[in-house]
Amino acid sequence: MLNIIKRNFSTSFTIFIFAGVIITLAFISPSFFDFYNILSVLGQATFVAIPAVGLSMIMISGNFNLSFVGVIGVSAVTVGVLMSRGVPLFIALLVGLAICLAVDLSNAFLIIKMKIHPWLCTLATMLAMLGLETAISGGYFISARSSLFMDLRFGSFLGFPFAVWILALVFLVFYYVMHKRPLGFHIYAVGTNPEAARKAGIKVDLVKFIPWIFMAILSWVTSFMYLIQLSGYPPEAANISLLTVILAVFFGMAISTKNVINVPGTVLGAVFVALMGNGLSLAGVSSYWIKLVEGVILIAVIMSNSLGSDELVQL
Amino acid sequence: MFSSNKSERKPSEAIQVGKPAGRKLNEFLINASVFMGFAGVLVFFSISSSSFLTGANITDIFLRISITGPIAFGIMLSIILKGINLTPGAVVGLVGLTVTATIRAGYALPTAIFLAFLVGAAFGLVTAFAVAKAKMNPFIATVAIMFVGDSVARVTTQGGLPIYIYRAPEAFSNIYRGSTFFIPNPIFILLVTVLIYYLVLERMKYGRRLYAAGLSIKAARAAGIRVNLYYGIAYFFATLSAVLPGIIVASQVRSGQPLIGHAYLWDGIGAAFLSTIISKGGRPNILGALFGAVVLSTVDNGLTLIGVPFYWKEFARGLIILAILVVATLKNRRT
Repeated sequence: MLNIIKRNFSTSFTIFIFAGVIITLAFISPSFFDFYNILSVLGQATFVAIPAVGLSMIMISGNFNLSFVGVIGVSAVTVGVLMSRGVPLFIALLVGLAICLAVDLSNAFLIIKMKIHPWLCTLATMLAMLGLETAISGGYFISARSSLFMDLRFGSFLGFPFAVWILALVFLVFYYVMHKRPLGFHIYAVGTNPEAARKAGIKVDLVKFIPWIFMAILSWVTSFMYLIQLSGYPPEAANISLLTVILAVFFGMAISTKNVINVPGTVLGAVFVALMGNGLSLAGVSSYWIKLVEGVILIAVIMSNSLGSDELVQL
Repeated sequence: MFSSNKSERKPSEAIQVGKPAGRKLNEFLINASVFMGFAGVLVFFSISSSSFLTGANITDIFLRISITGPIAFGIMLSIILKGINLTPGAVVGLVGLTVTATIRAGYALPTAIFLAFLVGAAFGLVTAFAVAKAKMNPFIATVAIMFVGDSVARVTTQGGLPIYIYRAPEAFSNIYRGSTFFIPNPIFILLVTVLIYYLVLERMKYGRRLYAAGLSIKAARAAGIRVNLYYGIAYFFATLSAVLPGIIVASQVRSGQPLIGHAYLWDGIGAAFLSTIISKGGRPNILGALFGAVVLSTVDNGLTLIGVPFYWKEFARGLIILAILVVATLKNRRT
């Protein structure tokens, strides 16, 4: 038993955190395991889970992305502003999708073709996109009112709200693509050893491009979810959850026994973070403290992941 | 060089990559275009704003450099080790909060500055431990530490309320506004900082060992350099370097602003990478980083003067950093 714990230190450590937090929260607030509360937690988890699935795909292919927080914002405020000017919803959404694709494809081009370091490149584009978002919105809440949004927000199908269905759909589609299709294995291959993948006949650059297209689509879906759930987009809403998204991905990596990023783990991580946030706010903890707790858990999880490695990391 | 017989090759030729003349020309062209670009920026701003080339404004630019400069130097230390350090983004704000809260509680300035260095050292130790001991990826480690620092700043200020000092002590105000030997204090501090960095990195064995550890961990270790120790110390000082700018900013605005550090962090990253563009062989160096701080502070100042709102400045900053990264990567791939 002790041996197994030692070998899978990060896995057991993370599951320990997970179980500890959930049990504590269940004791503190009795309404925690209420069915409607769980539904609202799953609704909150979509904002984290959808970009986190895209980010984990990109990280599996050996890259990284920070700019999605800006991309989601620019897409959401553009759709909102276009709708308030009387542009049909369908066209506004198409413009949003075009923005997401344009930014993420140029990111992909800079990183894969020009060999700019992915962290630094997307750090710069994140900054530019956050500036652009504020330039479009003026720093105000951009409201987007539509009867379709209201129907999607309050309607439900088989007892589950729309947001939960979207979460389930994203999970199933990307679980199928990443873990059941050859494409998923190719993405894992180029991420772990691009040279071996090339020798095995995989078109490395092409396969590295594909996650960015999915990321663009998922960013667009997330911006759509913000507009539905909040009837608009508060300034830098996605930027505030950047830490949470990264935590979800690393959490999923830590609970897998092989220490690899995977789609179910990421979604579980997002649900865990949402559960924790919900439980803490039910217990009356302010949102700043929740962010602090998330940050500390992020450091602990990454540290438990990297403690086994014996060499310093250079970018 | 082109002989097919391997045994006739001299050892010195075996390690030569590319044509030296072409490389020199390439480097010259890149340097020239950077300086020409900067000159163009200067001309553009002096035409579009009449107050750009006044003495008061140039002093203002240098006062801003005294804030972004040390941050850029710290980030440059991490770039020498092929890493990155984002913790200054949080430390600048936290230091300002510490100083102002201590002074408001009635303590003297030296106590406040001591506590500020203590906060910086605590964050430096965590960063050094995370990178050199726990062997975390420097980017993800410092991003996470920056998040934690920001959260600490938010928690202690009820979500980001600044700490104001209504009657600031003379000494505190003088950090930014006073002068030593006819040089404004912040610029004096900047000059001293540059001198220390220059001596340690370019004139002492510690600097050479640090560069060696960045170039190849294994080779440096084989040469007997205590690589992990150098990594730890470099990341410690990379974070600690944000303390002085934090104190200067707090003295400038006479208050502790929780999240003020981010704008300076981006300028610091841009400046540090600019130093790899204008140096030989993409070597990050202190004078290049100083020049980078000059460029980015001038651009920021000029954009403010011609009335660009802050969000377009943020947008421009992102594109400038991206352009710097593209040129740096292309150049270091070619040469």
